[in-house]
Amino acid sequence: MTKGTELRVAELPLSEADQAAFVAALSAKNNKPTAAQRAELARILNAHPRLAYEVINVGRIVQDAIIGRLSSHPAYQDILRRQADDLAVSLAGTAPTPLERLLVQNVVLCWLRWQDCEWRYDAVMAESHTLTLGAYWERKLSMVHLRYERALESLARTRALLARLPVVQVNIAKQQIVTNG
Amino acid sequence: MALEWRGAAGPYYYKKRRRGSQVCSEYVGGGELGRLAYALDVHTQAERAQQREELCRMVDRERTVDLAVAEFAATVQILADVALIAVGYHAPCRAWRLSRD
Repeated sequence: MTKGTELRVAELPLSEADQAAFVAALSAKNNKPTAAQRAELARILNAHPRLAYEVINVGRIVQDAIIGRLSSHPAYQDILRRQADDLAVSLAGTAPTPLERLLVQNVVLCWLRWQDCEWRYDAVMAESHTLTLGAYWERKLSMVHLRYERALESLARTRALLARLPVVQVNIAKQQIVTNG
Repeated sequence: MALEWRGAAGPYYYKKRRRGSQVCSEYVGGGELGRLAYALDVHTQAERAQQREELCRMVDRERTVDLAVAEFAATVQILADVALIAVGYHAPCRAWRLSRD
């Protein structure tokens, strides 16, 4: 479990007991969570069918904020929204599970942030700038690109792992996901 | 950095520079030339201070956006991990494996 995980779990719209179960399972993931812990997680996920969509909505708010930063012109904002939606559709495939939608939303958000930084980096480099400012944007660009790559990796890995199972049932959102391998 | 007077004579403009533990005065010029050099340096310093302030404000704005994106990514990762654990995966040595039991 990485540093700060407990704090982030605490922000999820879950009861304290359910949050504690999440933290316990995430702490135990290196040393095999017990069958009881797994069953408890499945119960929590089934009990909160809207969880994935609630988190996706938070992502949309951040997405709109980044689009607003990229341009104040409504027409250009619409183009960016369309591009983000196209990326989401192409990554999600034909029948995405709610978990996949969540991971795709993360990729889209990281892609937009990358575009935002690319645009700002170009604007800074086009004019005379200080060494500090140039170095700052170089580092920033590397960081946001790395985050975008990680988001893509996470989507691909989760998809591959779930597809490897003969039958997977994950109720992370309203619809039950059944994957036949 | 200051204009200095030597009795009734002056002004003379000296720049102060630190060399190790010592502060040295470097003579730049006197009279009108000294005043001009002094005014130019004051202006340059004010410009640099303004640039530093702008950079700080920009860094703060960028940090706020980065924090929002990073927090969302971390939350998504938590839910993905929880979903994988729920169906029987665990992650020894950071690589996900299916539990045998």
